Amino acid sequence: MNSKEFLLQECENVRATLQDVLRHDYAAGSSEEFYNEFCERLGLLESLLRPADPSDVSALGTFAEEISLLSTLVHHMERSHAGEFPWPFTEYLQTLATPLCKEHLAQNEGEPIIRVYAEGGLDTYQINLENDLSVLNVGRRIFTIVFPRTLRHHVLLHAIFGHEIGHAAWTIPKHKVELLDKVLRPLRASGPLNSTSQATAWLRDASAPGPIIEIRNQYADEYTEIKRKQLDSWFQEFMCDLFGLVTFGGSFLAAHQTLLLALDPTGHRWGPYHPPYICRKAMLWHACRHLKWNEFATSIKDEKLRADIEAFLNIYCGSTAPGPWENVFTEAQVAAAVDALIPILNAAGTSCTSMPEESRLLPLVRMLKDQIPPCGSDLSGSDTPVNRDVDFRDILLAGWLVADGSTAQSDGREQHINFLELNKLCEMGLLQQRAIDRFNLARQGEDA
Amino acid sequence: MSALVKATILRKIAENQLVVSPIISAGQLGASSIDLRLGNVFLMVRARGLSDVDPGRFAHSDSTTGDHAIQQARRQKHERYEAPFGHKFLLHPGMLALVPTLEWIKLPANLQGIVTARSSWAREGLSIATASLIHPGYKGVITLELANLGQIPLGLYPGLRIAQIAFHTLTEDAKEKDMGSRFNMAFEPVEGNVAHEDEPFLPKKKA
Repeated sequence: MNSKEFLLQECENVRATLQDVLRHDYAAGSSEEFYNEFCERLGLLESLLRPADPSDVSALGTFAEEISLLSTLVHHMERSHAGEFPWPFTEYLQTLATPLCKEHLAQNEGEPIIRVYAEGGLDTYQINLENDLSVLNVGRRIFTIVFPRTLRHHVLLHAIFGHEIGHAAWTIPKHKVELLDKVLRPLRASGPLNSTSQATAWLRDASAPGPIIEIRNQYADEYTEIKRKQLDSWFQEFMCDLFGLVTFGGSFLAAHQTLLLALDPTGHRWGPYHPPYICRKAMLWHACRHLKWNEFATSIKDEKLRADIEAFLNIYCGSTAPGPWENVFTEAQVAAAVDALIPILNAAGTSCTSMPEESRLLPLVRMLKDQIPPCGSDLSGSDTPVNRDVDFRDILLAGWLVADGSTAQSDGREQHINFLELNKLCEMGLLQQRAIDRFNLARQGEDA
Repeated sequence: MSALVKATILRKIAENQLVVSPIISAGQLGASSIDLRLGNVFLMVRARGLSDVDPGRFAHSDSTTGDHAIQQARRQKHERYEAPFGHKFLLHPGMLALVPTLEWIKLPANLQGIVTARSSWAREGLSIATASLIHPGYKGVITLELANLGQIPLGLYPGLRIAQIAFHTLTEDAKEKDMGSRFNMAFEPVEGNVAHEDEPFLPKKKA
């Protein structure tokens, strides 16, 4: 069997696997779009492969890559079972990310086809848009959302997907140009990360925090020499953090800190793709001040809620200014980047969020403290239910406020809710809110 | 002991003594009951090699520990299916499915809930609950044991109103120590343990 014959055989194998995929049930959209797209791609691939010269190793190499990609995608599809990830959260995430990822492709305009699956590992949060280099990418891109399998119920941590939306947007050429020009330009304009040589000098600075010096001492000099590609990756991370902040609001701050410090408890490690956490936190500190989130508690009248918000801001926003070394951007730089990012997202149809009004937040926090899933259902003695529209990001923020706030219920009794139960309550609240949204939408249709 | 009427149910909800959340439509509120909607998880028995109900096998073991065979038998007894809104679930004749309500229930110490079928669904052959008593102090979703007693499959969609709950006052508050339940704070159906506290009547565990 020569290479060409084997590749044609593998096309058959992928087709057979695609049929197997239909044995399962899928959430986050049906399998129909994916199935049709794949049939089209497989058909095109075979039609190009059959007449290929068996001695054309370059062409066969390209076909092998394409078939391998299809094999990977069909496997992801097969693993996209509802039940391994919270689909109500995923549906809300789609409403945020899909408009941003809609684009003009070679033959037709369309929203990407969403696939969701779970993977092992705490750092597996991903939103991947298939790149447009594939010769078969003639239809719609496959847009893959990956959840950590063991964090299935931890919707509060899933706010980190705000950061991943940034990576997805970066793969879309029209957004990349705008983000480079408007968001990254102010961040790169000055400061210690202005160039690779300055960044290297900054990392080797004698005044760096102790943990940085300790890490430096563990490695050879090469490790502290910042390369161009590395610096570009770091800036992409900074930008994606700003995406997370404006798309998910306060809950992003908490998820960001909790997850990143779990992966690097020192908060000072750096790598080829990621800058030290403390620098990212310092940037978010400036962004929060620019957005005036640090003053949020002062507008709250309810004493308990105000105390919870103060505790939250103290933990995740930081009450003291970052140290001089990790403060790689000025407040003006961060403000310019944030102010440029919000209109880009709004223009694409991705809604940004900020700290919610007290009237929106308080009922959700009270429900959670009373161990009731937080949603927009209200039956205050009347026999006509009031179904409020609730932004799912407010539910996440309420969850974090309760996680780190006081344990008093509305009747004054103390009740500790563990983090898993709290997440499950929020997950259930998101599910119930989906039902309310659906009912409200149908009602609006009737009224219209 | 008496059943609550609508006005009393509404007052208790307004005063946060009773929780049924969410109540999405006014149509859910009956004269002395509240309609409950179908949730999104379905646990169905898998008819295959490891799917028998043998209390002897489950005795002397809690739900999270134990040897591989016991845990595997527990986990493999049911198929878990999660259906988003708008997706259909077919309940075939003779089939049993454990499903949650969409609503979260919280009962005070002086109320118990009685869950029954909505008559329109009962007329189609749908049996809702065989264990229909909800104890005072309970909080969580309610697990419904759906069975199709008719001759043709029933199409069910999450969000449909399929059951109803009525509330009865008790002669006095239930005691805190009596209100614990293995199924408290339930977010979805779980398999029961038919051996629980009946171990003396079952074969002894092999050493």
